[in-house]
Amino acid sequence: MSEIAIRVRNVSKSFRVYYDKPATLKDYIIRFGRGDYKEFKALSDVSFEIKKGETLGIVGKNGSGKSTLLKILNKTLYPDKGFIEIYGKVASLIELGAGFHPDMTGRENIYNNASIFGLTKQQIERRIPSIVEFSELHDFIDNPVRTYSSGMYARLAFSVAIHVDADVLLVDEILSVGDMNFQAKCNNHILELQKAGVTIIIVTHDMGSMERICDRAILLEHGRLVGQGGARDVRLTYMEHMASEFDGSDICTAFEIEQPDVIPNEPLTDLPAEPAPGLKHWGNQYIVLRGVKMLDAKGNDKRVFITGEDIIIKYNYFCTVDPELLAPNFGFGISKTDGTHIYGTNTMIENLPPLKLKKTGTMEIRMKKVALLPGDYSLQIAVVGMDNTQYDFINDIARFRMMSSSDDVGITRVDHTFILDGKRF
Amino acid sequence: MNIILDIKEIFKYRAMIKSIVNKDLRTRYRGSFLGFLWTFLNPLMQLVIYSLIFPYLLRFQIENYAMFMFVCLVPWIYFNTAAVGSCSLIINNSNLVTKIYFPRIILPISFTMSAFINMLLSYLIVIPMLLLFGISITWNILWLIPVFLIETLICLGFSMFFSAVNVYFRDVEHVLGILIMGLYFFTPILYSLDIFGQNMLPYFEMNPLTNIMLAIRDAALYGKAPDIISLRYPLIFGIAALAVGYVTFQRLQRKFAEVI
Repeated sequence: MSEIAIRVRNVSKSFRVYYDKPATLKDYIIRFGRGDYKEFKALSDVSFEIKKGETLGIVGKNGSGKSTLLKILNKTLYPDKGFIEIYGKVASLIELGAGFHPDMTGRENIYNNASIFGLTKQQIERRIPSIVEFSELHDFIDNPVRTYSSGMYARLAFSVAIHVDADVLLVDEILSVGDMNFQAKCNNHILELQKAGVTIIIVTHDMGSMERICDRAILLEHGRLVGQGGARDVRLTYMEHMASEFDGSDICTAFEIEQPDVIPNEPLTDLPAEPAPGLKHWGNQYIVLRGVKMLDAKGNDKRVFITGEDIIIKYNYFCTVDPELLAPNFGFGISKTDGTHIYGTNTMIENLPPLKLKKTGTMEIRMKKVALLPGDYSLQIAVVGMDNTQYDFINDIARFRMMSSSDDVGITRVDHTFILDGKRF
Repeated sequence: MNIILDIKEIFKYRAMIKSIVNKDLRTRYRGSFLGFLWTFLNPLMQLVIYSLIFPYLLRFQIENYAMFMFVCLVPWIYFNTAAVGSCSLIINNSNLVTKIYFPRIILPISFTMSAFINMLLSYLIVIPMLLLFGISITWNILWLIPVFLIETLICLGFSMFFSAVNVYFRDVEHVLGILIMGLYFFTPILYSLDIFGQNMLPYFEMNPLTNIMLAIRDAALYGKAPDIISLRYPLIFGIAALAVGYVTFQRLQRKFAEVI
């Protein structure tokens, strides 16, 4: 088990990012010697080793060089400096089905595709039954691939890729091939390969599955290797990195900037700008909600919270008509960014006494020990009349992210205790 | 030695070459009504056009002009395909080149091989045509084999060189198209060298394809053994082209995936 499968030594790779790439000889001659490009260092001085039979996770943010590293391991890119040594045959589950010819049948494409992995005709013939079996395409294997659904296409490609007897398997991201059953089958197969001693390298964002599958991991940041070790340690390092850098700017974009934080005593004739186009927004604007903030218990404006933390939603309201005439009902909701509703309530549901508004003022919603599990969430705020007239109703006003150091799964944590045979833990 | 390792690896990937050639031949005319027949029809129709027009243009009458031209036209199409067709080869296969590892040189090798096989298939129609025109075939026609092999050396070299260079400079494809057309008229395919004076011959012999075409004509049309000595220049040229093409390709292929 101590044999080295892959050795990566001082690998650097940079790309020229052309402002306008010279595509013809004329352009090239005209530009020759001029700096119309800048160097982008995708990887700098990366070294690590992988032992035979080990499963290594590569983690890092977008743009940290993961894919470049994978392409170098896959030998589609050559490093500028340093070298890699790979002992054994590499198969990648990176680009499935590259080179499939739509007019040829599934069977013919198996031959083509497997031959790209360097298999001889006899070797391919021996594997065909199990490839067909695994892909579940028995009745369609002699039909042209262009008649396949995308799921069938991916199944065939995946089946070929795992049957080439690779010593090293490169996997990019979570496998989303076919339906749930097929995905489970793929994952099981990868685990079997792992047991059979195949060296596996997985690039992923999914920390949970990374930690479950990988023995070790490396963490890349701006092309540098900033951490390596056990999968769990690397995951924790990664999360610290993410939390310290993350200011929410990448998940709550445009409309937050478009929402000026209005000083409450500003004259009402000068209402803050309309919400950004695209923001889901209804209402007759008798009351207008602006300047939403999400605060932690200490009052810091944040967009990343740890599971179990208190979160405060705070915003300003402005009445455009006489406040005496209004019977407001304030509400808020939280959903996953994919639209799944998680929670919603309002002051009427909770039987609060009639609310008296000032001309302008603030509303604060204090949420204790928010048990949402890691993921990105979207906030919705609204004020309507008791007669259900909509004053201002804003969907997706802010987005925030939850992070956690524990591994429980789902949407929200449910408070619980395990009691085994009467013994409490 | 690097080159020995390279050749070993290419050999290991022979199934890939075979499957690309196979795919190429089988899908080339797929979807067209006449399908594989086009392999024969295409040169045949060119033959009809040339043999209708050219006898009027040429000052000298050549016996069996149609076949005179046809035996050389098919090998010319082979060379033309290998050189000009290779230009877009890497770009057309960008989904393979940028995604999967395999020895890149497989692409020009299999491209040239499929052009070669296509030529052989087209040549199958030459033999009945020769008989049809009352030309007797002798054993000397077997001389075509070494001559075609020498031509293949040149084709491979050109294919490797231009497929690689065109990735970096896309102009090459257009320039080459014109140059090869010029070369076409500079090669005795449509005419006999007799129409030129002796003082022009050295210029023609600088073109390695000249002696190849003359040898093909000797073997196929005149039923005599070609002048072997005259083939030494094409042979040397072919080996040199292959060497230059190979080295150029291997040097340039390292950055294919980035440049495409």
